[in-house]
Amino acid sequence: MKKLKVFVDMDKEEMFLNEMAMKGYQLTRYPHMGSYVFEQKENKKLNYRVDYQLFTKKSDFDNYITLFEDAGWKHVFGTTYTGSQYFLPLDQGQTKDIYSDSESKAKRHDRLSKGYIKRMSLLPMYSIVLLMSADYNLLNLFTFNKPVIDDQGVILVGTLLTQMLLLIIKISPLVLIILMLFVNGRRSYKAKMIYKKSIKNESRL
Amino acid sequence: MNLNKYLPLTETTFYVLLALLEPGHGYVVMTKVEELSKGSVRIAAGTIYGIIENLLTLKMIKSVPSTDKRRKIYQTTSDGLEVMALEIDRLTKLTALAVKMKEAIK
Repeated sequence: MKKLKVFVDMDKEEMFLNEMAMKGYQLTRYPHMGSYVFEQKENKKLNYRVDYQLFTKKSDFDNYITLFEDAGWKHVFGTTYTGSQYFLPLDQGQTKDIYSDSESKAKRHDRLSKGYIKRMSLLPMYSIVLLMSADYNLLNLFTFNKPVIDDQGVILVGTLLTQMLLLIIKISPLVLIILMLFVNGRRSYKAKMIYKKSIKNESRL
Repeated sequence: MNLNKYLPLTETTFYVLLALLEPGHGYVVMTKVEELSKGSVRIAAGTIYGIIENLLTLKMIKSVPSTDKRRKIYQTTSDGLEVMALEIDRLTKLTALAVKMKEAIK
């Protein structure tokens, strides 16, 4: 079963996964942002833990997974580039956490916040390509290639419709870029706020 | 480099530097810290990973060649030793003062 959902708050994500397990659905994959793949199994009380780590090298990723395995965790899903890493205790009755202090636990939301920005690292390149395709003037995207009104001032409905369709196709990359900026920017900000809040809650002398 | 800016070290960081006087991988550090602290300090996997990454960036520990492809081995560097010496100095002074003040507080 698939479920589309996006969590910025990883504590809530853990709760969601535990609730799903209680209902008999266990996470198998999280192939891309916001899409959870579950397998139907028996209802079970599980203790999912979510970490956020991006890796540039496969060896770094292996080292990370092995450390968790040595410490008694099963890596359920996560790749070098998905960021979110899902764990379950090998000993299923365990209620332990992957973090032993609130400071290090808070930092995962800081990494998530930065991860949303990193996810947009290709945006400048896309934008340049888009700008080049529009002859360095974005307004060019909003023009029709053919006249849609004939000499007598009659609107050519067929031409108008095809031109409008072409226009939508032409501006869609721009819309996508703006949407990506907005969505990732907002999530990055939200994650940062969760991080700051959990740091603040720490009362240290 | 002025290492004083990293003081005071957190208890966990100090234990990790101490555990890595001899080369070891992440899980070895976890068990060693538990051993050294007689069970009073237990560091979870995610936390130890963060501390190791941080100490690597600060060059207080370094990665040493490992025969195990899946486990990186680390060791405390001279910078790490230096910052430990500074911390020991700070703690010694503080402890001496604390012992002296103990009577007054009672």
